Amino acid sequence: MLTRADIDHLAALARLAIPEEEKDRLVKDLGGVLEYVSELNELDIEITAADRAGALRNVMREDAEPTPGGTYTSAILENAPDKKDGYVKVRQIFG
Amino acid sequence: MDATTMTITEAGAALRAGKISVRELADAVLAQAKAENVETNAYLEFYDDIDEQVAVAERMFKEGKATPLTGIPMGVKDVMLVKGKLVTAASKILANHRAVSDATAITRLKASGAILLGRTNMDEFAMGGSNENSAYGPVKNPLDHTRVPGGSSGGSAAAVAMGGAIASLGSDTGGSIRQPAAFCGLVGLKPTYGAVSRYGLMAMASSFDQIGPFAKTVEDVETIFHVIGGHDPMDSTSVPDHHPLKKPRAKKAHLTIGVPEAFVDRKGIDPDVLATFRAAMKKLEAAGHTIKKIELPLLPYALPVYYVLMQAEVSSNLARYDGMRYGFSAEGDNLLDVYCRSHGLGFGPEVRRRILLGTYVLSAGYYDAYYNKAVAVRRKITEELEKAFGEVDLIATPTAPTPAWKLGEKTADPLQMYLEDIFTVPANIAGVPAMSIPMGKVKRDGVELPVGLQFMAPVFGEDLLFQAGKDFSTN
Repeated sequence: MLTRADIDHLAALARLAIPEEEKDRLVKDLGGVLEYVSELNELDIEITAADRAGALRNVMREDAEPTPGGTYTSAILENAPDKKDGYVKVRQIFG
Repeated sequence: MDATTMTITEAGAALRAGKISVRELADAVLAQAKAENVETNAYLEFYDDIDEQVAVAERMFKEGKATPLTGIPMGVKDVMLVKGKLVTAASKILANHRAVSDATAITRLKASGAILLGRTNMDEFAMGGSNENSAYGPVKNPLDHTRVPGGSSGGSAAAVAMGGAIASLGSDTGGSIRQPAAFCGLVGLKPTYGAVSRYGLMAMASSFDQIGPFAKTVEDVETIFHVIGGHDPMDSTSVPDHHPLKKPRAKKAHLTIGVPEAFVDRKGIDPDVLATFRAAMKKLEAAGHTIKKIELPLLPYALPVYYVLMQAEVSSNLARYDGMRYGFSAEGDNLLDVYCRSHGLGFGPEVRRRILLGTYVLSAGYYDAYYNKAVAVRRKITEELEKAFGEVDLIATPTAPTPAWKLGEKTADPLQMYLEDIFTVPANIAGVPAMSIPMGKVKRDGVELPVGLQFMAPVFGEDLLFQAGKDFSTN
């Protein structure tokens, strides 16, 4: 069973602010979906090392012919919420 | 000659014969789109460069360089980048986001001379089965305005169904092309995973997402598939053209079509949909194909597998909307506060729900029980389907267990909406191609509502889908 404390914990992990009034509904909705997907426990299927690792393959390309500097800079910066002198401006990371 | 009811094949023939001009066709379809859109909300924006696009298509005809898509007015789901245009994934978090480049599918449509009329409405970040999760209002089904058009590519389906596009592009992660195609009486194709480049498609759940077409006929869907498909070095999941999997199969006049009886005749399927499906199988049999009952005992587990893995991938993929490089950024006391508030205010309820569920199944202590277990079951389901395709050419099911439901009918309980994906999800789980075609109509409140027939094929077996689909539609 999920609790409101679980919702708070998940929201913190997901960096997601959740309004107080939505939390009871989320306990119910998430609980319902988790109960449904728990059907998978009926199946006796072994988890292999390959399942844990995933099917990986490398897709390589030559490290050559880069896009000339500045080609997309102004268009990309247009989408940035905050910018200064051709850079994306972010909040202070180290306190 | 009514331009708004034409197929690509018909419009192409009319354009080549000079019976209609590119300009006249675009104007007629655009006028219909704008008139219908007032009620349906299928388009979020009509592009402002249609004149330029028409000029390009006209030149292609004049220079003898026209392709089957030249001059064909199309809609594009608001989740693919079209250079210089707004692209929002129907989310507030990207309300003012402008695409810096073209998605590969768009590059190929542009090169073919198609006219892109505008971007179509959808469930936010492609999460939903009714188009009611759009931050810009729901789409109404053009065939019955009290009903949903299906989702998540509801706008792309409605645009074609209302005559406001001759065809359109959507994306399909768990049924988001096939189910709206079924609800709107269209043909919709989810290609093989890796058949169409996802470069420039906003990621929802990357191990499932595929771009595909909506159109009125199987032939039209095939035409678009051949334009947008093919290898693209910009998408690492795109399969190279010389890959052995892509080797053409020997064509057979008569196909063996498997029906997973226990999976189809299940609790929750509408009796009228089931009856229509039975009649469709009889029709295919009459056309010379063999219908074979098959056992796929793991197929019902595709849905819970999907609702574990998809949520996990969603929670990872959507972490990029951090309010720093692009998208909505909320005010906050510090960096963490900016992240939390930007996500919280920018994403709608369904997106937030899925991020939390994905976080749960990926969190310490639950990772093995949910995520890894689902990965293992996915592998088994894929093997089960591969084995089935050793015995049958195609697998048939209804596309959805019910016809289009009423707006608001399934919004109270997300699980009820998720259960509607039961027939479409297996193809995404296994990466195989699947197509929905209209198989008949059922009457609800005096309105004839279309229902869809789904064929699944082995990987890169799109030709089999087209063959069976054409046979069914013309017989």
